[in-house]
Amino acid sequence: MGDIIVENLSKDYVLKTGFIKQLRGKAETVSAVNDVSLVINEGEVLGLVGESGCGKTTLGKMLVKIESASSGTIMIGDKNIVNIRRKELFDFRKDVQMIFQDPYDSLDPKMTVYDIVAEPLRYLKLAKNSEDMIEKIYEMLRLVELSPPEQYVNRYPHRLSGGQRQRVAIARALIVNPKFVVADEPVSMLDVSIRAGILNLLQKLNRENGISILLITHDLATARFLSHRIAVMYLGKIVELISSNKLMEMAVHPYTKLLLSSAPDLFADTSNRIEIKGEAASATAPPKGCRFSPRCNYAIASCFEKEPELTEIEKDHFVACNRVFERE
Amino acid sequence: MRRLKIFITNKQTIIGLCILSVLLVFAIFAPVISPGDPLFSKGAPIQRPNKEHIFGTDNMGRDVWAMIVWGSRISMVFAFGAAGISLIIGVVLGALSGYIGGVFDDIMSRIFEVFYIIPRTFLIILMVAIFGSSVTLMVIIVGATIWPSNAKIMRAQVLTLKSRTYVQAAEVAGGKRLSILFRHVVPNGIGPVLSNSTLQMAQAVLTEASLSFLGLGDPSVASWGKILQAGQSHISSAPWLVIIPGIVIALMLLAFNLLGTALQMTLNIKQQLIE
Amino acid sequence: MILEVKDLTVEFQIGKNFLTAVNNVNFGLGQQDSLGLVGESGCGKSTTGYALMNLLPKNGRISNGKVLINGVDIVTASDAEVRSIRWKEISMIFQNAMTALNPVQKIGDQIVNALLEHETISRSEAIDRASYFFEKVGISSSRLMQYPHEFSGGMKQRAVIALALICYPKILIADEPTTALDVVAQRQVIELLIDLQKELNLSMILISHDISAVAEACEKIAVMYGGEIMEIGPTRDVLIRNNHPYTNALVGSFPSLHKPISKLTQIPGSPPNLADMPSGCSFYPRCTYAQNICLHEKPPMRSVRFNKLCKCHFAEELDFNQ
Repeated sequence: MGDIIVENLSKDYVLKTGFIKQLRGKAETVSAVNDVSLVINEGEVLGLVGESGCGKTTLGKMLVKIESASSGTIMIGDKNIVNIRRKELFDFRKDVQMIFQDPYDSLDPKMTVYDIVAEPLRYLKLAKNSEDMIEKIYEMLRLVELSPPEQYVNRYPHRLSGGQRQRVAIARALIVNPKFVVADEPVSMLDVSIRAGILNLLQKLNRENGISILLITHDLATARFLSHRIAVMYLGKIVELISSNKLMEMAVHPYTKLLLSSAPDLFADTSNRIEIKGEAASATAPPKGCRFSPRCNYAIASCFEKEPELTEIEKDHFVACNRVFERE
Repeated sequence: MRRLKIFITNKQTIIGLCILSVLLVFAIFAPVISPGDPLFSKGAPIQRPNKEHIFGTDNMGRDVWAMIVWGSRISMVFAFGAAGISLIIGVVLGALSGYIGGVFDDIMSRIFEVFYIIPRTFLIILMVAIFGSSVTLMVIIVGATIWPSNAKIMRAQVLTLKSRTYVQAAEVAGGKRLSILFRHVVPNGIGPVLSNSTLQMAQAVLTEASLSFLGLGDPSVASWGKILQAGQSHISSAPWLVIIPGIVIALMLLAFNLLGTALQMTLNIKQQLIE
Repeated sequence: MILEVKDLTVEFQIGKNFLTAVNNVNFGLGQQDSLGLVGESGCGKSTTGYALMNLLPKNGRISNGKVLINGVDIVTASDAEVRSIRWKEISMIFQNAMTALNPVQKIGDQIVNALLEHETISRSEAIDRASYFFEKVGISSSRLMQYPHEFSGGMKQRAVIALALICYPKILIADEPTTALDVVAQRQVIELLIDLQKELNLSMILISHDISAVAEACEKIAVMYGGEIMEIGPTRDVLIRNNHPYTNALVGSFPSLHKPISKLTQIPGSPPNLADMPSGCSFYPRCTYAQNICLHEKPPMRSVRFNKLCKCHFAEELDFNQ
């Protein structure tokens, strides 16, 4: 399938405003994702990290085409999937799948595990006959460690634990043999003791089956554990893109550093943390200039005017900060 | 299955089902229970309930018991026919309206409102005057005028359900919008519509009875309303002609209402069980 | 000891059955002490918090044990006594409290009304007190007259903390105070709780599934599993030098930014089902160190190194280091 190349991708939402305002054409828009460009390499896990409302989930949903893009392109191979045709969408679904955050809401309560996992096969007509379908489903359930499958196929979601539900959701995403999977906070709703199993499973799928993954998470430690590279988002923009093994030592963007220093961690030294400035900004009225400027400890006058570009400061390390060269 | 158990073991369900099954047995086995044409005179008019005619006879000598038995047929046809038509129209239009949204939803919602305010009885009287009174026609008219409440409930259900994650997941799984709507959204939201349907069944039975009472019923079939109509001018001399069909109609309405309430209760419990 | 919990057992009635949600829990809290209660969902940590306030839901009851607050047992206390203790001696920040703020009432009014409900003071005194605590939690008192939707999530949570402190309690229970918040706001809340604890001489119980957050704020920690405390002691000695296999597996099961990337420990099986608890040790079905004795005999609480208490038959032999 090749790399996934995202260029200048934006998503604007029209806010529900008053009837009169709409009539006067003054509907407010919120830009959830603003001019994002990035590449997800074949066989790579890319971690997309940011706080709630930063647009990371919207970006993920645009990549699987359940949210339409306002502008920009998403190239997969030689196809731009932003304006893909209905017929091609069918083939696209065989290659690109998604794992959702909330396993308590992502499985239809009226369907059995078998029917849930069979659904993509039925829709995309990927099973030769019913024996083939049964075989594929059993094999997949074994792969996500729900074995013996006989024990699970006839159960309804309410009779599964959170971890088991998420495994069913992963099985549904993987049964079509996708080449790229968007995993939106796959463990955040699960109990701590269950998370490791899901994360190890995703790692195995990437390493052994070569599936590319976009891992959307608010937790830098999870992203660092699973991803090759990490993209940090703030208010709809990517502010830093860095390989995971360099994250701790080489990250330079003040926001990345604030996140690193704020994340609760048993093994962290909390004595000299970066100071927190201001209150979290809202996506509906993003600050002028650099969006992080009001909260930035290094902001100078120009930061409030000029929006920084994402620039490569060393190989595979991109930063969007006006003062990145100065400060070094 | 736990829900089904809760529903079945509910006292209201049991009473409702008992009444309905008796009436259903009447409807199905009418020719066995009371052979012969119920509209035929079986003896002297206005007889008190006696050994031969346990519910007495009306002003034309027709056996009231036979009319009650055969009348349950027509009531059942109305209940299930009209409510069924209403269910299908309501679910389909309501679901589409909520799911497609936008301008389509706006237009559909206005159409629901127009149908809401159509004076049903007047419309039926008009249609009967034009096309003559046949059971089929009346069932269709009742069904085609009571669906807006179903549509509104379905639409509201779809509006809350369509943003559920499993709907998005079905889209990613390759489902077409229409098949997602009828495979995932409607089955999860139809509960309250079904509970409304039982009330509509009651409504349809009542409509049929009042039409017959007004003399607009199908003249070729026996119905409970017809006994009432016959009895109205003899209300002081032959009160059983009014009391007996009145009780039967009330019992049937009670049964549907009990089932509706029980269904609603079970659906609410379901939500608690899941959360 | 300002708070002593002795053999606390809480049961819930589900249908005809009684489920034991909290099983024989013991701990004490001195002045200015801070204790973290951690564990997975259903381990009984929140229920313990509610029991300390004597605020269990209708189908729950404290079937055994004592909760002594300044020597008064809140379990057997009269209604009048409970009223004089609750909120004034011991106060609680409920889980999701920030979403429970009334959206159509100004935050300041909500705090002032709550205060007037519990103390007989004038309205202007109440407003002064509310402004004082708003400043204390780092929100300008000029924002008292704003509505909840004008606050960010972190600010709402801080307002809820102010609300919980308004009657000058000596003990504060915070149930998942950081759960719905973003990383930076989480840190602010944790740091605020630490500061307030020192400044107001509070004894604090922090309930959370997030071990790292609790570790930052509390000197002592109790790890709960299936309604029981499995390991309790000084925070770092419990979390880094574990003696209980569950603590060890739990700490090893989430990634850290400050450790080399390695495979995560996977705890087999599912969290325990209260309706179907194993006999013997409740962690036995998921434990990699389980022996025959664990199946049959409930391990007693025993003291181990570093002043810790641990509920495992092999607590002395198992010396883990993270």
